[in-house]
Parts: sequence; C-alpha cells; structure tokens
Amino acid sequence: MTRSTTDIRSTVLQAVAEIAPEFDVAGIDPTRPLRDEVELDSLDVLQLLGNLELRLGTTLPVSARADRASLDELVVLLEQHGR
Amino acid sequence: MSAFCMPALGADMESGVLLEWYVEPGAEVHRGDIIAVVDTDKAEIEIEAFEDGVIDDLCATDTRVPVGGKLATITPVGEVAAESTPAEQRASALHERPRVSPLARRAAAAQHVDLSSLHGSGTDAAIILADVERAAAALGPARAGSDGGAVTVDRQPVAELAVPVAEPAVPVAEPAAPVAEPAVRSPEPSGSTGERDGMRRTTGLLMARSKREIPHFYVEQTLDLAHAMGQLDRCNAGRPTGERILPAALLLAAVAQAAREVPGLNGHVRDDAVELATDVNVGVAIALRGGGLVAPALLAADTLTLDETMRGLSDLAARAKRGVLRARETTEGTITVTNLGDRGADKVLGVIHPPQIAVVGFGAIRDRVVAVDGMVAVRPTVIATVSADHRATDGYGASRLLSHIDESLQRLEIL
Repeated sequence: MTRSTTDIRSTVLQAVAEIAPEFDVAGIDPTRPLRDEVELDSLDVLQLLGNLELRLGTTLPVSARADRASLDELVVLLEQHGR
Repeated sequence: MSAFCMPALGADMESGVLLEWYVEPGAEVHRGDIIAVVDTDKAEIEIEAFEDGVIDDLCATDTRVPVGGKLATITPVGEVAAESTPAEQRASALHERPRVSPLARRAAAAQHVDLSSLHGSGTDAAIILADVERAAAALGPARAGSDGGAVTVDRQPVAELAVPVAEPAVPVAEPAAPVAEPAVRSPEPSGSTGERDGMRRTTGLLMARSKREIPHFYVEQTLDLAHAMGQLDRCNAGRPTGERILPAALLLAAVAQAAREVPGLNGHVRDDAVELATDVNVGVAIALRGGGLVAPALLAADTLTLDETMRGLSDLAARAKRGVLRARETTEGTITVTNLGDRGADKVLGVIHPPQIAVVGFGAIRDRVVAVDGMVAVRPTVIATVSADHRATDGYGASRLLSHIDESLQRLEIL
C-alpha cells in the first residue's frame, strides 16, 4: 500500500494535534524543527514518532534523526521508510 | 466507623474540589481502591480508599473541602454486619442522593450554592440550573463577599475528557498569598490566561515556601556518559521509535539506584525532623503545556528495569499533561529529578520540592572535552547537580549521591 505525500502530511498534522491540542497546526513553519515549532519535549517527540510509525506501518531508524526533523523533512522520511 | 478525609495531595495543597465519586453510597471498598477524583488546583487526582469497609455519606461533588475535611464515612465490614444496615435502607439512601444536571453542578460550584440544600424541580426531582440560580439570587450579595475568593469550577470530570488536554488549574485565593485577592473573581472562559496564571501561582507559592524554609546547598559534577550512551544506542538501534529508551530514563534510573544506596538524601524533613524513606519514589519535574510544573513520582523506581522506567516515565508525563494523576504519585515522592533535556542549558540547580530532602538536576547532554586516562578526549557528558536540605545532609552526603549516580551509569549493562 502506498500513501500519497498529502496523506502522510495530514497524518502527521493530526498526530501533532493529538499531542498538542491547543496548538494551531496551520501555523507551523514546515522548514523549522517540528519540536521547536510545537514546543515538544523529548517524551512528546518519542510519542509522536511512535504513533506515526504505528499508523503508517514503518520504522524510522535512529540514524534518520527524525526527532530533529522539520515537518517537511519528517514527511519525506516517513515516505522513504514506508512500505 | 471512620471518616474518609480529604488527603493532602502535595505539600502545597490546602483544599481540594471533590469532582466525582466512582462509588455509590453503600458500596464496599477496599484499601487502595480508586474511589474519587479530586481537583487540587494543579491536577485532577484519583484518590484511594485508606481502609476496607462500606462507604457512605458521600459529600456532594464540586464541593471544595479543606485538607483533613470529611468526604465520606467508611464503616469496617465487621461493623456493618453488627449495625446491620438493611439493604433496602441503603438502596433508599442511594435513591435519595439528589440528581443534579451538569450545568447546575457547575453553576452551583461557581456561585457557592450548597446543592444538598436545594429541592429539584426537574424530572425525578433533579436539580436543574434554574434551581441553582434561584438559590443564588436568594443568597444575595451578602454571600458574594463572604469568603476570601470565589472559585470558578468550569471543567469536565475526568471521565468526560475525550481529548487529552492539559487543564490549567482553577484559580484559588490562598490565605498565605502576599497579594490581596479581589473578594470575588469573575468566572473566566476555559483556557484563559487567568487559569494559566493560577497554575503558575500555585507552583510559585510552593517554590517560594521551599526557598524561604529550606536551607539549600548545592554540589555538582560532570559525568562522562560515553559508556551509558553507547549502551543506549545499541539497545535502541533495532527498536521502533515508540519503544526506544531516552537518556532521561537512564538518568532517572541511576538516581533511583543511588538514592537507595546512599543514606540521608531519600526522604523528607517535617518540622525540622528528618524522616528517611525506605521506598525510593522518584519525583519527575514535568513542564505542562501552557505553563506550570508538576513533579509526580515514579513509585518504587529503584526496583524497575530500564524498560519499565521508560514506560513509567512516558505514562507519568502523559497523564501529568492530561491532568490525571494518582494520589500516591503526588504525595509519596522521596527525591526529585529535574532534567532540562537535550535542548536545555548546561546546568540546573533545582528548588527542593517540600518536604523532600533533595533534588537532582541534569542539564543537556553535550559533547565536551574531558581528560580520559591522561589523554584529551571528546565525550558525551552531562552536568549533574544536587540541591539538598542542610538540615538533613551535608556536602559529603550530596557528593556521595553524585558519585553513586556516576557509578551506576558506568556499570550499566543493557541486555
């Protein structure tokens, strides 16, 4: 099963909204580290990435440094490592 | 028969709002059962029964009760048999418990109307909003200025929370507050800056008390994490992100081990008397989204594996941010850890969480130049600090705690 970039992006935004419900995801600068944009701590980031891997059926390797990715970079990583 | 009283859910708590009962009058409860939810102004906390027995005389929900005030009665099972409360009588007591609409409940709390004094005009004699408004009008302006500060309760009970929202605290006037409070605080919309300020203020009062009463002193040491981080990387390499272990869990586990090994820093100081604890319940300082800080404890942290520590930490942080903590987690911490995380400053000197003896602070883990076996090397390091109460311990004790944290990290073997 392949997913479109748009699907992955909206899945990411939905997962962000679940962790930071008060945050307006429309205001995220997609080129800046996501955790800075949404003020996520390391536990939030782990939860976010864990949720995304479960939903998209993928595993991001540690070397991908997804915890430091911007929204754009994260979407690309999830695409690359997706099935 | 004994009274089930409002527990002190943290050193800073003077009263709490009973939000919801999980039990009905006449229900048999056991020590440790979660029976109610209390709002402490910092979080909604589930509280446990302290003994076995039959619970009765439940106080009305949305009632503010001082610490030590009666919430219900618990009759030991043996005594119930002796008193032989007939089932019908209990059933009728259940039936007589007034039915109250949620809107009425909130309005009653906001306007200080005692629900038990009202007669409902709704279906099945349920108390509805109109009943509360009538009663509030009858109480009139005399009532409005009668206490230190009105409390606005405008939040859903835990069970109704569909989305995990970090709930800011209800603003409360504290008698000890140095700033005069207006007699009545007008209700503010949910999520307003007023509520966030209330949360900051609750934290601020506790911290002010700590710095006023506790003679803090500080020690620090730079810890070489090359071995521990190497172990962690190897362990995490094959795991999905959701099952990886963060350095924060590693440091927390090391503190738990050290707190068990080094006497004198794990416990409390009450009325200038030192009470060392045998259990090691490590409080974790967690910043809440929207402001405020809580430090619930990971219970028996010294007995957990690293994976269990990580899961416990994630669970604790997630529940703290949702505002749902358990009573023991907020009352039974014996030492606290504050960790700035990988984007934080180099070092943090924490403020002790009363009545505990010590707080261990970790700055960001960074590569630094260090001397290793007479050679210059670049290693991942962290600056660890201990802030401790000089009434309970001294520089020697606090230094030992740090060297045991170091040893625990050096001997770490993750299978």
